[in-house]
Amino acid sequence: MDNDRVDALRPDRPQAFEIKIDRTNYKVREMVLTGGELRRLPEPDIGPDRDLFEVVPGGSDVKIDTDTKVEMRNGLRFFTAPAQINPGR
Amino acid sequence: MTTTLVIPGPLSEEVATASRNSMECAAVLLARRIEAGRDVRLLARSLHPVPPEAYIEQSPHHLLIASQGYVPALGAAEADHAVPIWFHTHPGEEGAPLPSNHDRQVDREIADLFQLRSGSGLYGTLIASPRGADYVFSGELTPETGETSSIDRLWVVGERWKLMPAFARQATLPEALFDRNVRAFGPAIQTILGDLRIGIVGAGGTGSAVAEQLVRLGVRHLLLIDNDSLSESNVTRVYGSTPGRVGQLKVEVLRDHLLAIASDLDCSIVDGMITTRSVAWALRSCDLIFGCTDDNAGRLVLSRISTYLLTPVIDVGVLLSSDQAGTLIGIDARVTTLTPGAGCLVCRNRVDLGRASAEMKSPDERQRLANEGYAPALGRVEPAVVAFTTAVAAAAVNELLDRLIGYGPPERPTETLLRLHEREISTNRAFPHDAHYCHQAQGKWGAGDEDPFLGQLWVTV
Repeated sequence: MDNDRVDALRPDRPQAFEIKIDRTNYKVREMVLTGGELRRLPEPDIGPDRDLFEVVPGGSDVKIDTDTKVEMRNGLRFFTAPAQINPGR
Repeated sequence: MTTTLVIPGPLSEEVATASRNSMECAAVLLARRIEAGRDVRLLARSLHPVPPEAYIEQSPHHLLIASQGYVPALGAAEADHAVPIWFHTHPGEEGAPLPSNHDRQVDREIADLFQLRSGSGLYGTLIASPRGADYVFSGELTPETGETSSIDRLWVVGERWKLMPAFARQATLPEALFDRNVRAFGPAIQTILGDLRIGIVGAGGTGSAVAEQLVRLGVRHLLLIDNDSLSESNVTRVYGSTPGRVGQLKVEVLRDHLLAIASDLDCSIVDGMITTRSVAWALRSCDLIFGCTDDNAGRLVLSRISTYLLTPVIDVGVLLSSDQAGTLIGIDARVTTLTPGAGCLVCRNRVDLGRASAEMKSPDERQRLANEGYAPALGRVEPAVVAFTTAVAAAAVNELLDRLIGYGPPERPTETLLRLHEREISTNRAFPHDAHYCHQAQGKWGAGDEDPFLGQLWVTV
């Protein structure tokens, strides 16, 4: 039995996790989501012109690439930022 | 509403250096926001430059920046309870620091992110272009809800003090009344004097002399603080006082006198002691303060204000000494300048902490402790002479002029000692003690409204 299935059987395992991307709350049931899966939670999907970051309170926020795996927990916060900005005259 | 960005000298120098770069460059400036009456003050805390590796493209005319170039500063803004201000330059002496279409597009792309991730609900912008050794700027502040407002003025507090209006603001010519001043230091300084918000704590011999000189110089925004009434013996040295006004509040007597000199003066008065939280709170709207009080506890508050609110304080003290026969033997005075990077009055040992502690106690408790020898006796009436209080007031106003105009040598002293009985004047510089709140490393420069206010306990009245 793999670890995910073992965790799924644990009686104290939450049925769902509440996470936030930008200003919107999402309820997810998976223990782990990849950056790509997180990007598909909003409607429409987060486009390639924006980067996805995980908020690290009191630390440095982490950029979540498409194949990065993120363990879910309640209260997890993400935000998106323009991948490039172009100030000038 | 007027929004002022207050920026310590070293941070302003970083902005100036960036603006002189021939390539456009960017950073996130973090500032704490305080509301002072109708006005807003942004107290600059730190500058987070975009790291070189985050520039995908960089030219004199445009930038292309990856998200890693500005995102880390937003978490820092949240941790510091600060507003993130997106800063970039428009290089060249001819550069205009006004938002371009590209800049407006960037504002639309990142404003929401800045407001959200910083937790401040605000997005600020600042654009700078070089002008000689200085720079010109424009800036805006955009709340999540509500309209964008401009950053109207930038107040640089360091070795020199510079009040810079936003680039687009039309300069007004000083009135003909100030012709002699303008001939001495030019129209720009005259305009600055008219725009500065100055607090004067103490409306007695030195405070009233400072106030009168400031108004005659062209200062038009004053806040006067004193809790005392005019006594008969005050008439010998308090400017504007007359025997007929004995018994009235000193701040009212002084305000009326100043308005007779300049009817366009905006003069607020507070009848209270600066050791009261609400009175100290009122000083948050000031660009700089003259400390003309003779109480030690008040000086402790002024010292903290200079650090926590980035408000320079010019503190004045006069001491006349007599021999046993009552004859004058010493006329000592000092003008101490508290500004970011300079030691505060505690680091300089210019406050009698025992007397400060006694001053904060109730009269009964103070008397009991004094009788038991645990506190110094207070309430002694010190000698005071108009010639000497006026001399030190003039030295204090000179200090302001030197900081604005820069007529003195570049290594500016932070204290001037007047030993009038010796006909001697000397100067010195003192720096913050490492572990003291006035040291930059303690993170209190521009702490603003942090609770408790000024990091101290307040007596409940």
